[in-house]
Amino acid sequence: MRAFWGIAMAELKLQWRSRTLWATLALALLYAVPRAPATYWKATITIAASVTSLASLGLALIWAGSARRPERCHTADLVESSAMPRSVRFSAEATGSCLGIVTVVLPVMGLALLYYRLKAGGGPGGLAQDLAVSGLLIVPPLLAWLGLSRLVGRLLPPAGAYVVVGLLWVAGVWAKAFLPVPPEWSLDYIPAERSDLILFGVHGVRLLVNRGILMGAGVLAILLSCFPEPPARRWVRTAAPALLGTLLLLALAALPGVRSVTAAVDVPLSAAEWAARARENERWRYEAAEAGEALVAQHNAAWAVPLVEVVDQVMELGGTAANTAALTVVEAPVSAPLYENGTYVIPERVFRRLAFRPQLTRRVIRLEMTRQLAPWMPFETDVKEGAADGVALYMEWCYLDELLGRDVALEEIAAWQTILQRMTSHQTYSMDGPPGPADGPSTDPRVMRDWLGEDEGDHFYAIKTALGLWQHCSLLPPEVLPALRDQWMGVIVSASRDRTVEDLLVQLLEAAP
Amino acid sequence: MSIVTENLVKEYSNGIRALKGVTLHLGSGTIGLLGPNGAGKSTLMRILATLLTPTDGFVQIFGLPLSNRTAIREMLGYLPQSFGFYPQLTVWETLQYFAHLKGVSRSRAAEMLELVGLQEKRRYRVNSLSGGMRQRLGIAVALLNDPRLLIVDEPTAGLDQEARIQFRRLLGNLPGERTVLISSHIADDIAQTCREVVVLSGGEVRFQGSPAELAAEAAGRVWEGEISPDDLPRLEETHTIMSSVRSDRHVLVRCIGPAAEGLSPLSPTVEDGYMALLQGRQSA
Repeated sequence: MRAFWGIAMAELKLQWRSRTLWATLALALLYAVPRAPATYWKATITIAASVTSLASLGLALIWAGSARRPERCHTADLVESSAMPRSVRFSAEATGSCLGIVTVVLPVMGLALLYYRLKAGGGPGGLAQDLAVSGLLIVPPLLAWLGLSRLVGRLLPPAGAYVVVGLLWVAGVWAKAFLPVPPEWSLDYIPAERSDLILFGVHGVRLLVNRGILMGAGVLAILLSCFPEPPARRWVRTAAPALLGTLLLLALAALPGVRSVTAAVDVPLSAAEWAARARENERWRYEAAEAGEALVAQHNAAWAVPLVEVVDQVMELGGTAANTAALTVVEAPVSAPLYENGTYVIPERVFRRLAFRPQLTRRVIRLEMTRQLAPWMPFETDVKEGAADGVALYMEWCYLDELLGRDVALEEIAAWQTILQRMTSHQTYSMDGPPGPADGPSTDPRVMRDWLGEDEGDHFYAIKTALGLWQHCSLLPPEVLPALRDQWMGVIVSASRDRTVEDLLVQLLEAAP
Repeated sequence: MSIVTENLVKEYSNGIRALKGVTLHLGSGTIGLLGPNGAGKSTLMRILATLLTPTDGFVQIFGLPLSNRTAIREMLGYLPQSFGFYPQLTVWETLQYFAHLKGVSRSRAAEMLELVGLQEKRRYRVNSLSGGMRQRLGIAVALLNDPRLLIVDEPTAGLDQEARIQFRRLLGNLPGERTVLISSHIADDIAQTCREVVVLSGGEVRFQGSPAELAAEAAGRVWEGEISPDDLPRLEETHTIMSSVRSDRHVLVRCIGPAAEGLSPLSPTVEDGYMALLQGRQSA
């Protein structure tokens, strides 16, 4: 055992002293630092991406070379004539190489993280945790890749091994297989809402499974590389590493979430570049959901890309693709810029853009508002959806109708949300207990229901719409009221087909300031 | 017997037959393996070091068949003809690395470092060592496990005279009982260090005996004298010229062959015997 660890430590030492390693690590940092991101976590992701992509080449060359280092250094006869079995020696060398990942990559990561922490005005506290997360993200895929490199180095002569490893690396970079840091790990994106936390957990589990598979693949490749004798047949020696490499890349690409995850970390790409890439890819063009997912991931990973730009790009995809992609955008689990002071704020331009597709808009807004209202509305889904439909109609109408002659400000939307919140509070009281204190004139749904009789299911939607319009009316300047009144009236009439509601609306509008 | 080989044959995949039925019975002590380039010395040594499998024949080392590799390797120290070390490691780290491979202690590594006189260089990277120092480090590596059989292939190749003498002295002063098999194509090296010599040529054993017996192969056939420069080409046709020193009017020659006019007999050396042996086989 002592001999085993002695060889492992020697291997570790050899790895540490390799010029190739330090050259590539330096390159990786040189690549990452000029792109110095504004936030700590973005820095983490950038550095991790850089280290795992660029340094992976250097480490792979070292690993591929180490499999035949004795031959390369003309030490083979000296080494081979020792009593230690070859398989034991290979295992010890592989162990040392694995330790090398931890002792080489993680300190570099640690220093980089510390630098950014201090630069951001923070302290070293929590660095260990960040490092552990970074390690979890980086080490398994790196191990899989390096295990493959070692196997290639074991099976092929040095020059051939370097060429194959180089080609595999280029293919890996092209497939974004070396950028395995998902945006979901960014703490900035962990919202306070339970549903999103669950989603975060799901991502976490998926990620762990992904990393587990990669770790297993790496260990398997290393074990294979520890066999004393390479396969005798030349075609096996040539085909085996190529096959294993292809399988590994396919596995990486096929694992759920990995594609978007890997795409997400491609921070240096602008939204436009990303969209151009998406357009070039026929599959993405037709599988719009993936495009949307990727764009959202891009947005999430690159703080600098506003969501509206992403939506612009989605729209450029055209047709059904745009619809589906836009839905995906809005259905994205978490999107930090949509939160302000704990309130869900829908960027006005996003909805303006989405509003060019009315059917889509309604559905999108309903979904959004349903999610938004979920914590406030612990009652039946149909009621929630009804309320949301009201908002959807309102929103659609606002954005489609340029007759308004002005943009609808975010404050107005927020105000509408407040109204909805109040209304649903009343609804809750009406179903679960006594009504709360009066909160605004005639907004109590019980009153509306009384007026409408028992057929509340058909009319509830219209009532809520009316309430919303009424409230909105109170916020608008008096000079635009006549035009608005005509518009709203038309909408309400067409929506409810109920004169009672129309009467109610007229009554409400007349009561407005 | 330390080493026994019977009808040992080695044929490489490219068809070259490096050994053509080598039979040897070697005892303990220092044994020299002489032969021209391509004679099969390195092949024989690599087989004995369990690094090559013979095509045919039988090998036994200290009573163990060659198939018992692990046991043989535990008793074996091997210094190949051309070898290198990992350039990133220091002298001491290199010794430690091989100590781990051979399963010996650090103190043994320190002893070997002292034996080969490289203590002062222990912190130096191996790629900064001279050729002679590297050979000494190599012998330290080979001796780490205190081998009963030490196989040293062409140890003085490429070394300057001083380094060659130092190395010979080092081999001559090795402590303990062991069998040392040294190969060389320089007869003088063998004559200085070995009690027994094996001459290998064309993959076959041409001679096995003491250095004196090898020298005797040229008895009565070694000559020296001054001849005219014009006569030198004629002499070369019938004799093997060992040396020729040109002066103003004459050439002082030393040669092997039949008696000739103007030449006086000389006592043969091991080199003479070796050359006479090779010459005789060639002419035969």
